[in-house]
Amino acid sequence: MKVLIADDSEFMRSLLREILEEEYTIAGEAENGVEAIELYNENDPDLVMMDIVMPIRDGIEATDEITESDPGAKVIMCTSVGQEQKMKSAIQAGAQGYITKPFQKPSVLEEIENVVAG
Amino acid sequence: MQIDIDSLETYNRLAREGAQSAATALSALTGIETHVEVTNISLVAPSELEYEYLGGEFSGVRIGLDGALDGETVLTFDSAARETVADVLAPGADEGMRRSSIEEVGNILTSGFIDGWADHLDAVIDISPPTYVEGSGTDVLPAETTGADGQVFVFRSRVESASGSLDFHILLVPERESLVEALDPATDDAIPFEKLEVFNEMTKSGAERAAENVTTMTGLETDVEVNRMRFVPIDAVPATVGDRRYVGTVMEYTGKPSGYLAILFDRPSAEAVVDALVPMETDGEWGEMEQSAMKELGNIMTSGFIDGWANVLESSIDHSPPTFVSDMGTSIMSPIVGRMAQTQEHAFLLDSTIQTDTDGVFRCELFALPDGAELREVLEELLVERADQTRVDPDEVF
Amino acid sequence: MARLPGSEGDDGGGSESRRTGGNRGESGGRSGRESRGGDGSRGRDGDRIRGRGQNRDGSENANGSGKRIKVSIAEFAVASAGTLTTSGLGSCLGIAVYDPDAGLSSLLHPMLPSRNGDDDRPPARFVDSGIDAVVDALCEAGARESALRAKVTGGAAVVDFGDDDGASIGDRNIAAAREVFDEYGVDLVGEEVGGGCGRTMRVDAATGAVTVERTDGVDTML
Repeated sequence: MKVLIADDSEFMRSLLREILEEEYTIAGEAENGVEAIELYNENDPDLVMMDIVMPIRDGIEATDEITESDPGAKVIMCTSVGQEQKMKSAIQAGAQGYITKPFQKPSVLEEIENVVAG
Repeated sequence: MQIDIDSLETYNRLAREGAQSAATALSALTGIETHVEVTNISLVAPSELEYEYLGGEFSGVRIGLDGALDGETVLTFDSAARETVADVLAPGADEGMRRSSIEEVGNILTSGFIDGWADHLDAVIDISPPTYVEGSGTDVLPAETTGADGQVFVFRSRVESASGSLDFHILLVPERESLVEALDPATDDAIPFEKLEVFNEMTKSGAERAAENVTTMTGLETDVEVNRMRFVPIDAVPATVGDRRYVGTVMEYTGKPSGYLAILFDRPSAEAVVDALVPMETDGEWGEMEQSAMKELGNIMTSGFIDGWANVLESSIDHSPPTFVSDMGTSIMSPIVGRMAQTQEHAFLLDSTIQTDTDGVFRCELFALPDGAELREVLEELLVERADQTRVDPDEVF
Repeated sequence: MARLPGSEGDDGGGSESRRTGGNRGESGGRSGRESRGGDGSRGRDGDRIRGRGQNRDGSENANGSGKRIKVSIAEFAVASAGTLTTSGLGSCLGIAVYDPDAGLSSLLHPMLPSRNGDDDRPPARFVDSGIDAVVDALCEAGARESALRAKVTGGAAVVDFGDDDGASIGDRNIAAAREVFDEYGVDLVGEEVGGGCGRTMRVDAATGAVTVERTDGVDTML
């Protein structure tokens, strides 16, 4: 399974990469919402780990656009934001999962399994 | 019980004028130039008052106020100032005489401080004979104050000399009922005192969440030691934060309320934190990965801090990606304050200190500056009964 | 109670100093005097002018050179001896205006470029109205306007707000200072501005010599 990581923090991308690369293939790393959309279209990943607070375009906007063009896209928000209204906007944008930072490795893998299983 | 926020401006001015007259009196007595560095009004839990007086030995006087304003005033010199005052006023004298000189100076300065309040209220404030106080923390604070229920308003001024040889603090802690009467809530847009308290508690829980996030990420045990809401003239915000060197991040948030948040670590703490996240190769070198780790920590702490506001208010507050900063506290705050000073004359500064209670190595301060007008709206709309709804589990939403 | 002036070596002695503008109330006791850009520079509440026009102890003390006068944001001070000092200059400016012949110097610490004619706002918070206030105060203390010179530091972008429209506050402050001094015909003889570091500034009141310490460890004499 191919996973795209979208997070503006180099540090957070490296953390996620370490957690994910044991079991999955990394299908690219985006630093902002626009890059996330571009890499999604180029690499056709099975799953996106999407940060919310990012420059240029945020993760909710990017998710919205990705699920618009590919209704089968699977996106997990992976964010520090723990606001109920944001979670609702993420659902509206088409995200299927939500992980709040700081996270532990098992909770990340568990959420991925849940989302992939549908 | 209602608080008129505009009248806080008047009272802040009275406190500043009072401190100025005390500073002038002290300069006249000693021949040393002094300067009122900061005056502000804080809303704090009484138990946190002692943090004003930790980390040094203070001596001075405590007096009781009775009449138009009930409460207590404490004037304290730090140890260098104590030496200076005693050397000038009682050179070569024995300890008893030196102490007496401190007492007398404290008494004179405190009277000067209180006079303006009495004049403003057009009434008499009786002053009890001074009690000499010495020590740190609660040693210099009245037991009645630190034991009180609910949060208290504290008027505080810091007076400094350029050489640091004559610094003192004046604290005025009015009794709640007495202050509320004096604050004259006869306006339409007064805010219930309870809402200010509740907002302050929400902020504290946000700071606690931010502290937990630090612990989860770094393994360093942390605790919120001080949490207060301060009402400060906008120009005085940088001086309130101080000249110390910090490393950290600054975020701008938008929504209701919008504003700025600075998360500032002292340098050893910043290095310790980032070392726990990514091993730093060289001491004090802030490479890209180190900055990125610090920014991500700032990002996660910011969410912890402001999510609670959004959840209680059932709104959403966005924040910008963090900006890395490493400089003097005042320098970091000046561009933020510059932006805010275009629209407001006073600011509510929400200030929380996170530290380790064990060795005191780790110390981080959160300074939030919400837009004044938007904060008022937030307070008006705030439903006190929702105040504990700060946390939302995504599993319950998804 | 005995008073022993000047017994504190570092701070002892008196020289002229004044400070205004730190705090404001709804009714500032403003003097009626008009200067370019409005006055409001003196006599406002809170920070009363101290020892204006004379020394507090009535003497120009020989060891007054050791005296240090701190200036905070949105304040200025004028002195004939000792050191004027301000720290934590980020996007703010530290502006020294001095008359070397008269041996008078000032230090101003403004935060924003222009008061935009809003006289209710404290003059020393702004570059334009602050310089007006400082020039007035210097001339009143015995300086000649035609002899005045200026040095400017600060104006850094300590916090990089990526989305500022065009120039940062620091850049706009620097541009405002250059423009105002140009209008006054006051020579701007020294600048150490911009960059991303905070600064501390010291002005030797008698000579107008300026020392700037940057937080990256670089010190400059102006």
